[in-house]
Amino acid sequence: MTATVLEQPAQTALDFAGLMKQHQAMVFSVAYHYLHNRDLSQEVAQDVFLSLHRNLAAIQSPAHAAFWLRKVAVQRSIDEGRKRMRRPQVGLDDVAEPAVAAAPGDPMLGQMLRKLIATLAETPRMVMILRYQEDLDPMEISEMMEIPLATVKSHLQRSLALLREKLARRGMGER
Amino acid sequence: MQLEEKDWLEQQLRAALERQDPPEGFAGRVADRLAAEGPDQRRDRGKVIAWPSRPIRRLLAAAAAIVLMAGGAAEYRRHQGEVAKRELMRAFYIAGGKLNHVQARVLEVSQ
Repeated sequence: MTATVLEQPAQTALDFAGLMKQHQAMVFSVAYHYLHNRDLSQEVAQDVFLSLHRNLAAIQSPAHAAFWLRKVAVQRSIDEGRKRMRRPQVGLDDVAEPAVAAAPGDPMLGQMLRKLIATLAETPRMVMILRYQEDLDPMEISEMMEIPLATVKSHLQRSLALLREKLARRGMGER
Repeated sequence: MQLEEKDWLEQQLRAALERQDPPEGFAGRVADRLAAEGPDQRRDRGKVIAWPSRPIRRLLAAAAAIVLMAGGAAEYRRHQGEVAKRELMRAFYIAGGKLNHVQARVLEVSQ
């Protein structure tokens, strides 16, 4: 039955199963880095793909599908975050501090950064995710989130300064 | 700050926020939900009016504010009219009492 359902939309111009395979990591990660909850993020990602399935006829190209999925993932994650009031759920003081300065790609530093990002307010948090997970430039983020470019730049600047300060306070700053 | 600058923190952020695959069986669960919805429901749910975009929401909020202000102004005018009416009635009542009193005195004097 699973295969049949996924094959149904193949009659349309775009292959739903292929789009899901290609973009599931992007959609799930936007939700996960924003919400910090695997089950909830999976639910949001499923909703996004169900919504894509319903709107597949309106999607004109693979690039349009990628843009559409990212935008809907952003909106759904923000809506879900508001609904569940899940903002700063992580206890930063519970995280052990490393004895030595972190090397690039350090798992403990990565965990700390994800937790620090989770403490940001909703707009700067999503701006940071779109910038550093999705590698979007500020103009693209501004269009995606429907906020002014100056606001995006200001959120990036302030969030980076805040993260630097908090990392330095924990002895995890730049070497 | 140069936004293009790839400094240490930005590199760490890119590594920390790398994309992750969803849990095993994700596609299967989406397919199960699609199957559970059924074609009729899927078609109907596709017709549900979408939540309006941010500019539309702002316009709606502004329109609602204008309607509320206009309603408030109308209500204020109506209230002012009621107050004026009550004061006029009281004035008539007082004037009527005085007239009755004067009439009684005139009658007394004439008798």
